[in-house]
Amino acid sequence: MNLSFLFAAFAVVWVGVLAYVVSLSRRNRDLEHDLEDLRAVLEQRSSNDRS
Amino acid sequence: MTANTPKTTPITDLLAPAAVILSMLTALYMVFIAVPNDAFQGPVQRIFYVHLAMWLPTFAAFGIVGVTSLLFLWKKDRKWDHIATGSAELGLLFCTLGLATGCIWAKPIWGTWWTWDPRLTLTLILWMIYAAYLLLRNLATDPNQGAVMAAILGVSGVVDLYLVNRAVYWWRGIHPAVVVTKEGDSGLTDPMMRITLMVCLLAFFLLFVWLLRLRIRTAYLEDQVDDLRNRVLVTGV
Repeated sequence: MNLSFLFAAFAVVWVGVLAYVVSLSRRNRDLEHDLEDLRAVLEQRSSNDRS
Repeated sequence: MTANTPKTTPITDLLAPAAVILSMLTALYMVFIAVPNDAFQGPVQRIFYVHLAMWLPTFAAFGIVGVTSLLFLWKKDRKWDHIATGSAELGLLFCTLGLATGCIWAKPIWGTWWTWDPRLTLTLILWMIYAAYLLLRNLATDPNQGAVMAAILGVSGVVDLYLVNRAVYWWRGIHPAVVVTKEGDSGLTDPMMRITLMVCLLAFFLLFVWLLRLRIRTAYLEDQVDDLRNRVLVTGV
């Protein structure tokens, strides 16, 4: 019975940490995509202005 | 104007997660295999190593929030705000895990998941303060005003951090007072227990440092995206 508490505690910690790491890497990936898209829009506009 | 994203090198990008994984595997080996069972609590006492290891990053994170919030209020430099926000988010993560592992340990040992012990109550208040800090950041209509209000909350939260630390000495409760230094019947008497605790503290502190670097980078990216969105809106008119 006590072993189930031990495994529950470690499971909570690892699930919590992994969920955070996954969400953080997704946020970073989405932000990098947004950054690329926005840079492309600005680049497009500046080249249109030049022409 | 936004600050540049902090520089990362391939060496630190590889070394940091490698150090975290290595120290975590060592900690797991020590907790599940190397360390002896506690004579009174049995195997459930092993929760204590991971439970205690949650509090070093929690205290470090909320301490960083206090100092960087103060610097942000003084200098008005976004750099300090980025560190404070990242630190608050990680502090809340480790505080949540610390409270959860404490509840799981308390059930077989105290016979209840939760009790209104002074340290537990103050820790729950600490959790609420920094949950409010992050809510304030996310719900504020004016980001600058939200940052200033959150910074004030971040600085005031340090008072509760100190109270959490002193609670076991100032008020009578059931939470164990000291585990590293032997005091009465409490304390980790076996040297392997102390080593295991130190390895767990190191492993989770390294994890905290690595995640904080990643989270600060996210804050800088968010700033850059906001800045570019504003430029796109301005040039689009």
